[in-house]
Amino acid sequence: VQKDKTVTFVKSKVAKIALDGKNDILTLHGVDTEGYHRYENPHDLVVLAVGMEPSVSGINIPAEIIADSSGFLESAPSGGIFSAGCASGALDVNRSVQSATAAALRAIQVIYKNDIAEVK
Amino acid sequence: MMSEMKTAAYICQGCGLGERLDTAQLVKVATREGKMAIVREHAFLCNAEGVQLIKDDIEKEGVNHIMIGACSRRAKTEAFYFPHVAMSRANLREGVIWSQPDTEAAKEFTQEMADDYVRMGCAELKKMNVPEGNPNTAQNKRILVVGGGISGLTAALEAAETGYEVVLVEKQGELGGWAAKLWKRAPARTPFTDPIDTGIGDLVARVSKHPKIKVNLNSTIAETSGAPGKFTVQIATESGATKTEEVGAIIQSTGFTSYDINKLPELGGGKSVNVVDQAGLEHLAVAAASQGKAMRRPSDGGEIKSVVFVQCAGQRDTTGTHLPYCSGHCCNTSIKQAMYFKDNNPEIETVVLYTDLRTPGMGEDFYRSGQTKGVIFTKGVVSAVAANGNSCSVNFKDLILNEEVNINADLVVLATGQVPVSGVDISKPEVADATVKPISILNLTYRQGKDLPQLKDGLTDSHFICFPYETQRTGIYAAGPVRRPMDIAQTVEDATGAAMKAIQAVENASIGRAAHPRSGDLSYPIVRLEGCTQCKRCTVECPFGAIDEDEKRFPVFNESRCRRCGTCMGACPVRVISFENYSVDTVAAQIKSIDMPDEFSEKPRILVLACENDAYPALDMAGMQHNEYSAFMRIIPVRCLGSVNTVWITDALNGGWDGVMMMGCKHGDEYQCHFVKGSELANTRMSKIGDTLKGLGLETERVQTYEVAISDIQRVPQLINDYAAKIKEIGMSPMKGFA
Repeated sequence: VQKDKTVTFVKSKVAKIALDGKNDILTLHGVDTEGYHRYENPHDLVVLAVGMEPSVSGINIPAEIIADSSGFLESAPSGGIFSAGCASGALDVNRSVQSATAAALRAIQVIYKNDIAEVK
Repeated sequence: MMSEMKTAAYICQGCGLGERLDTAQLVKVATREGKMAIVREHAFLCNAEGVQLIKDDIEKEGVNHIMIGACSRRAKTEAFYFPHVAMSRANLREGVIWSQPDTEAAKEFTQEMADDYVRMGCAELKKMNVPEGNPNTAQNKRILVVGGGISGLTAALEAAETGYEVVLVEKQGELGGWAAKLWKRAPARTPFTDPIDTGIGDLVARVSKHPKIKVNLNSTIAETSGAPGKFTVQIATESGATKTEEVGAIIQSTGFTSYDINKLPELGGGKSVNVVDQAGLEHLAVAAASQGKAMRRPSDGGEIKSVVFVQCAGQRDTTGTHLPYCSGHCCNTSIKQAMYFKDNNPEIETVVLYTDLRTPGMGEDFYRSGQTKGVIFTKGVVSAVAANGNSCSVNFKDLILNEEVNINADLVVLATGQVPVSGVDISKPEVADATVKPISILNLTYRQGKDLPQLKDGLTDSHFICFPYETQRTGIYAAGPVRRPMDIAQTVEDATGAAMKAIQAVENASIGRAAHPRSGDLSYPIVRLEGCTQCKRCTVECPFGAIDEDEKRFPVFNESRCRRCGTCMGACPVRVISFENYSVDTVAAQIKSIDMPDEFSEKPRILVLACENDAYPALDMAGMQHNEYSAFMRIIPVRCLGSVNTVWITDALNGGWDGVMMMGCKHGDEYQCHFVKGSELANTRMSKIGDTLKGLGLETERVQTYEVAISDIQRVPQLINDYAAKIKEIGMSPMKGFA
């Protein structure tokens, strides 16, 4: 993508996005921190790359489950409840597949160990 | 063998089929042309009553072959689940009424489409058999783990804790790998503020004393033969003796080596002992901690007052000299290592020079913790590191201040990347007199080479996003940094997942079923060796190395290594390879079954061979969204474009079809083919079909191949309509009426 001359990467935190109501133009204000250049760039469309939050609202999470500072869930220390995918962290597709496959095995282990205990 | 075939066809009137189509006409087609013994209509076939109707016929009438004319074969699979009978599905809903306009003018074409799909469904059915499962099942459920680092230890322990026996092979004299050489690791759970204990000692102890794990130290793999459920592995020990282990699946967790810093002389690599890589810094930290002292400068044992970390050293390289990729862990590792100094003595200056700092997820908390502890992060490109007595001089361009800067440091740490330890690159010819002979890890006796195929940069092949554990060798799974660079936290998840995949492989092999991606499929390749001409195409082209050759050069099918893609069937010039429910005949019969309008009808017929993994679902979804497409199409799903035998194309052209569209998955480095190489092979084969077309006096446009993704819901109808327009332009096939 970097080679594509129609795409520009700017290192900056955007300070403000102003909407020109008449012409439907969005103007981004900020500072390009590489060399400290102020900019004021008009755009037709702005896409905000907002982050992920764990989808936990309205769900009764068992008390023993620990949440990190952002609310993502860790597996229960007792070993019977496992978090997976984007409930456990801000993951991309590949990491979600890893996390879910691992969680499936951990859950199977619980059942396996219960079966063994019953036989004994 | 199966008892005599008794056929039945069922035409559904639900979901608008009854209103849009003349279902009585479809019954007539199934009876007179399809020659079905029983033909029934039902108002709502997938409801309890409809399903019971079919079940009754199976039980009371002895029906063992059924054709269902209703929705797509991808829909209502639970209602229409009839084990022990052969079944074909005519896609009248998504493929006909939903993809065609509901207008009076379109009625005739829509009905013709439906009639043809019923003909095709009946023709296919009569060539199908019920898959009975690979009789060569193999019962060994032990798992071999190659490599005793954190990925291998985790995979071994997780498999053992699920009740599976594990054989672990480690070439070094002790377990632990890289993790055992670290002083501490980056945090993996809340709070993400400080380096934590690696936990490797505990992991090694648990593995060492686990009753289900057999550990082999100072050992390598001398030979691996067999197939899932029955691998035979020769383990070479230090003394030179070998011992044999039988296992059902293999996890290759051979990890990585650190990129050689001697290749980075411009950054001081190999020029000064005060320039180390991250592993070198860990070594200093462990040595200092063992004496309860602070780290000292390597050159003279002097005090370390300043440390510079150079990120992306020999990584993310665009010049082709060094590693092109990002190893993912190094930013957090440098932050951790800077904390080694700061936590001990906040007066020590630590500077991390980066171009892009990558600490996704909770690594951001760790980064902020580093800032709080006084680690300085500077965005800059390092141009040179030079030894200057007992100090190092670092030149870099500060990208924020846009100026050249020189700083001195007692110690420079180069954040070099991970180089996978993946054995021999089997895509390259073996050089007999090579000075450095590449060392194979698995020493497979497979016809296609000794080690796992690599995708790029030495990383073992896997679809990084969709199917991370899959390799091109069934029952052998790659875990950890051998397949993609990763940190400890990701490696632990990865290795646990790989253990899960290995368990699935041994369980599937034990009941003669396919593994991913046709998991649960009971069909398997059957070869009629009497007709084989030993051309070796199947053994060369199988993407999974499933087929070996015997001493007379006949193919030897290892069914449990097979993924059932049918690439061998597509490759076979004499058509002796088939599956019970999918064969050259099941598709050829469909191609020959349709009612071909004559040359002057202005009704061309275009055959679409659509990959069932991506293209066919995309077509179904196009139907669901009523994205209409030409009524001249007749679509046949195929397991993979790799399974397309060119005889189908010549059959179609000779039979008067006006064009053939083949829709498969993207191939190449960024492939999306579920069978890795199938669509690529199909593309190669079809590039040669031009001669056939010329021989028949036909235009090359009459056969076209397309790369289609499952998300191409708008694009697929467009491709079809563009192609239909093209065919209209070049005119009807002159081959009609000769077949």
